[in-house]
Amino acid sequence: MLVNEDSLIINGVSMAKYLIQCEFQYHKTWGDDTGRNTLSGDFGGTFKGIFPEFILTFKSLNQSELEELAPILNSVKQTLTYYDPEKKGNITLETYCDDMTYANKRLGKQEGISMSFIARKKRVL
Amino acid sequence: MKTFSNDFRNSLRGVRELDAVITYKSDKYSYVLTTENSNYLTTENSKYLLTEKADYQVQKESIISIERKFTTNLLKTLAKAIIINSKETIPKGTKIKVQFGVLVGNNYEYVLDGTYYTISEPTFKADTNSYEITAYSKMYEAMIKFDKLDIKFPISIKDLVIEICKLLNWNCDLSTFPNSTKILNENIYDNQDLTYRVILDDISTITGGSFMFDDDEILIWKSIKNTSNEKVNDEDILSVNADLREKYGPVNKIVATTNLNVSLGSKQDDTSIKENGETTFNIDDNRLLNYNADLFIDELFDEINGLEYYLYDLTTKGLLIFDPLDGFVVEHDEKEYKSLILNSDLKLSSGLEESITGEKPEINQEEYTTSSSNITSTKTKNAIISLNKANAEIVLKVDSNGKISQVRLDGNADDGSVFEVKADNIKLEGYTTVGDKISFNLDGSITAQDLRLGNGGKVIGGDGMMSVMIVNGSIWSEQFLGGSGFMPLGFDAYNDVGYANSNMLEFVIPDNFKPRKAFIYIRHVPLTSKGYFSGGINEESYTGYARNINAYICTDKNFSRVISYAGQPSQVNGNYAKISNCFGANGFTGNSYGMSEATSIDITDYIKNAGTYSIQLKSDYATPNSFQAIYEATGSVMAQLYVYGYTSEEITDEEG
Repeated sequence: MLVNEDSLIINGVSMAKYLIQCEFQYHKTWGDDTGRNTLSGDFGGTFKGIFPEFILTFKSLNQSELEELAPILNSVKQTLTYYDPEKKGNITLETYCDDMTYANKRLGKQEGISMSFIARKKRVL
Repeated sequence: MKTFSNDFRNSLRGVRELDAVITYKSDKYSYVLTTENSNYLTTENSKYLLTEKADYQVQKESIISIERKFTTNLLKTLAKAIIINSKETIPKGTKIKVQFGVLVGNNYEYVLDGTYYTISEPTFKADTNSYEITAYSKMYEAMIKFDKLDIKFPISIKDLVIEICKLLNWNCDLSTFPNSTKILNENIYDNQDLTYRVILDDISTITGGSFMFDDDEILIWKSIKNTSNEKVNDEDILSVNADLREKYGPVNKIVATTNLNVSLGSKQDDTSIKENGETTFNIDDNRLLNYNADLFIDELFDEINGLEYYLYDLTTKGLLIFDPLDGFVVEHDEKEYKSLILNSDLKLSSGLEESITGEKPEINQEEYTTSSSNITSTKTKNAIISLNKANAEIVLKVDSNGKISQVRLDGNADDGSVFEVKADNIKLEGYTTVGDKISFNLDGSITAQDLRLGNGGKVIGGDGMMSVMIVNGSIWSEQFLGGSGFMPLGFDAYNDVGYANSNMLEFVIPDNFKPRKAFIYIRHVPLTSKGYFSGGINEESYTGYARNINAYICTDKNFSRVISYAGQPSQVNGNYAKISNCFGANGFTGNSYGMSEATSIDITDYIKNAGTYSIQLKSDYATPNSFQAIYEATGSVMAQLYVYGYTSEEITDEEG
């Protein structure tokens, strides 16, 4: 959750000031032995862990702002620190992200950037 | 079975979080490999790490997958294998401990799966940038070949196991087990290119159980009949590959065999057979049972009599708690199926699965069922060899479509040992002897001291019975006609001129006689002729001997005889040809004293065909022309012709 401007830092850059929205998804990942047992009807399986995903929706970025963010958004992997409400503190994860896409409707303003940052490893509290 | 808390299995059944930990040591460090990235593992809590307190290297999340297997052959030694896929390499010859854990509450609880030894260098997998490491439990150390056991005999079975453990530098904890006190009098294992494990397998079998290592790597003996109420139910079983089948057993008969069809001994429980039908547990080619089945079979049977378990093939979410031969109960559809853990294949990667199967014993066993009307017949074997040691009898029997061939060796017969052979056809090949008196030679002949036939018995060859025809010579001279035996042979005197007389051998070769050898035997003694030959008043006496006697054979049937009653020489007329060299180049000449003899050449070729023959023996000596010369050239000769041949019993009518 974003509690202050430094609640979400990627590669040392605080993202909060650039965002109009940040969606937090805590994906539970299961092993291939997971499913509902047709004998007992019970659901079971090996729980691998929670792999958080952060969906960032950016405001319209000017040139200098985009120039600051572009290296991060185009990188293969990132170091992401966020405030976790379960831990009640910060957790740092290694993440990967999808492709950077933006549109120009006006000169000097880049709009429509929305990126997902997904944890490579499970969250450890 | 492993030791675990009450919550362990429940934690494993539902939604679980798993871990595996591998620990091992090098000269400098202790290493810990895990699947989890958990901080608690960095503590020195030996409850989790199970390492000695030392410098340790923790490689978190280094284990990619683990596959652990064991396959149980009933009444053999037990061993386990493991294949590890890891980002870290583990060198050859490393002793590793493997634990599997599940999150129980806030902490992981681990069970020790076993201690293993890597026997080869790891294989690098380039596609996953990892190492594949294969390791086996300590039993693999018994896979060492030996020529001669460095153990003294006689020895008890238990002590034999202890001595093998000493040779292999193993610790063992062996209490009493079946047949442990039985004595093996001689070494039955040397010079057969065996491993120590083969011996332990042999011993396992006759104990009715299995030798294996416990979690402390101590060799123990484990019974085959283990019961437990530990349940495997629907919460453990994955919906696919759930197969619960019929019950095997109860075993109520054991048969020890060699070569799968030579019966060495058996024992059975007739009461159980009557109640349950027969389930036979067959043990084939066990060296101890081959050595002396009677010694071991009683206690062995007592141990496995009644063995029964349900057959199954289940894929579970992972049980982790069972060792080979542990008893357990499958609970399904409100029924319970008691069984044994026999085979397990556990795979830990992104998830955990453990497949367990229980099958019938691999060695031959036959089941007989009772029906309401009768007991189904036993399987027909084509060949049976049975030993009856109590009666010192071995029977080898082959039965095919009612044709029976049987050899019986009976060392217990009152009138001497017996070797009896019964068959429609008996073939003996090769040079065969009977004692030292009779031999059957490879050329088809028989050499024997005596051959005695019963009354009417015959010796018949391809052409008939071996027989001999004897023809006595008969004299044909002026003084004597037809006399046989020692008769004058030489010259008759007409006035004082000598005329050669003859000794005739005349005979018939019938159609059913085939000559093979023919010899003329001559015996000669000097002849004294007395008379008033010259007409004087004094009796003359001349002792003479036959000279230059040759044989002549009539070459056709044109021979005739002339007897003169007017004092003329009697004549043998016909086309007679000399038998060349019959008695040597110069014919036979007798001695002037004593008996002399001669045997002709083989004249078979002259008389081989059926027909009438006339052979004339006469002197070719120069015609004597005085009475003295005449009688001095005359001896006394007995001639016999022996014709050896075969007489057929089939006699044809000459007119036919």
